[in-house]
Amino acid sequence: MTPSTSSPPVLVAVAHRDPYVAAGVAALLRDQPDLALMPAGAPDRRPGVLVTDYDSALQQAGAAKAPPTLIVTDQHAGWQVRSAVDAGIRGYLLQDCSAAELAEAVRCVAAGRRFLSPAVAEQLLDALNYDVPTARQLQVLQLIAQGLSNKDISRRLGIGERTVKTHVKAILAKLGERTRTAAMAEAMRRGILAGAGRAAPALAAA
Amino acid sequence: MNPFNKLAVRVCHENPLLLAGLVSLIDQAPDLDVRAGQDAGDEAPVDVIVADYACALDLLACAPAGPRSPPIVVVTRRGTERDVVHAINHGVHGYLLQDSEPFELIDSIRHLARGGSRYLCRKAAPLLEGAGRPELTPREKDVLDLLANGECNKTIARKLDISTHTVKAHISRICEKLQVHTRVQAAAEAARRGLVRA
Repeated sequence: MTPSTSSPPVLVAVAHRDPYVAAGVAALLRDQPDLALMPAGAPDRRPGVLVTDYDSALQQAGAAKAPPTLIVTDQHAGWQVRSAVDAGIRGYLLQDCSAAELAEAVRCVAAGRRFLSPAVAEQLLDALNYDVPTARQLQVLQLIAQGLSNKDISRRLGIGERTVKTHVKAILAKLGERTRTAAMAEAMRRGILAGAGRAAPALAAA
Repeated sequence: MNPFNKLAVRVCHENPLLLAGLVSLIDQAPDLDVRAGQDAGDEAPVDVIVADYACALDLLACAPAGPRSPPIVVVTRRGTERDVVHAINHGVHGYLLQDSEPFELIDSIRHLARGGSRYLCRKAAPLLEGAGRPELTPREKDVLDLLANGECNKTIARKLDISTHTVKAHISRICEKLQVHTRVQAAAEAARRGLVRA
């Protein structure tokens, strides 16, 4: 795509939680003549595109004046991608992208289209088949993942042990597994639970 | 080290995005001179190398860390205890998680260039403290992998071609070493510490 020289450059705001990623996005976009980085401390101007991290994107997604948002992240489990798309995120790019991909993604989102990395699109399609756990089931699942027994979970949530058992049964069914440990592993694969060394995914959209 | 010269830093990172970010941040420090990409083999030696996890371990596999080789700082999103311990044991000097602060990047480079022995970012430091705990044997790791995948004792026994009694014995040793009481807790702890394949 050849950027038009006549139209004014697209204003791009970069607000990423990881300083190295933020610096990288800024450095790679600086060379693009049709894109202009928004200087820090110009909050009154609405950017054409906001480039941000996963958590910040989902927090701001509900706001009325949220600009078109491009997520740059290393997290791409199916459930996370689906939550982001459900929340109205237009662009979803993985950190191992090239400079050209990044610029292309920014232009797409600025033009009102969507952009997903190929790996992200694949995960999203997988996630369409998932049965969505309820908020309560998610709570129970998170406690299972901490190794709590049904009795402990019932105390923690202030509900009966029978109710916990019902929740656990429903969770196992939705994840298509027979045991608690297998359900944990599957939930991590789908991105419903945080995997090793990761922050817990944002689940507000559930 | 000549005090009038800048410190030479080479950045090798597989992600173009991170490479550009690290280079631009290091470039802002007045005392650092940054070069991007792998050494073609004909360039002047550098004082410190900043690299991604895989690249750092590749470099160390080709040329084990010695008194003459430049110290290596890893910048990575791999943040489990196992990752940190593995890298340090293989001769990495600095370990920064990808969400660490830019001042930590600059500090680590200066610290190691001055001959400092080790630099861990604030979030990585506690991970190394756990390194003294007893390690799992290869067989216990096999059992833990299957357990974390949700297999029952009978299936684990069949897959590893051992008796269920042996499986049970392994699991109680694993729980002891991980300081937990149940198999679900063992799976949770193993995931947290990065002991099993995700």
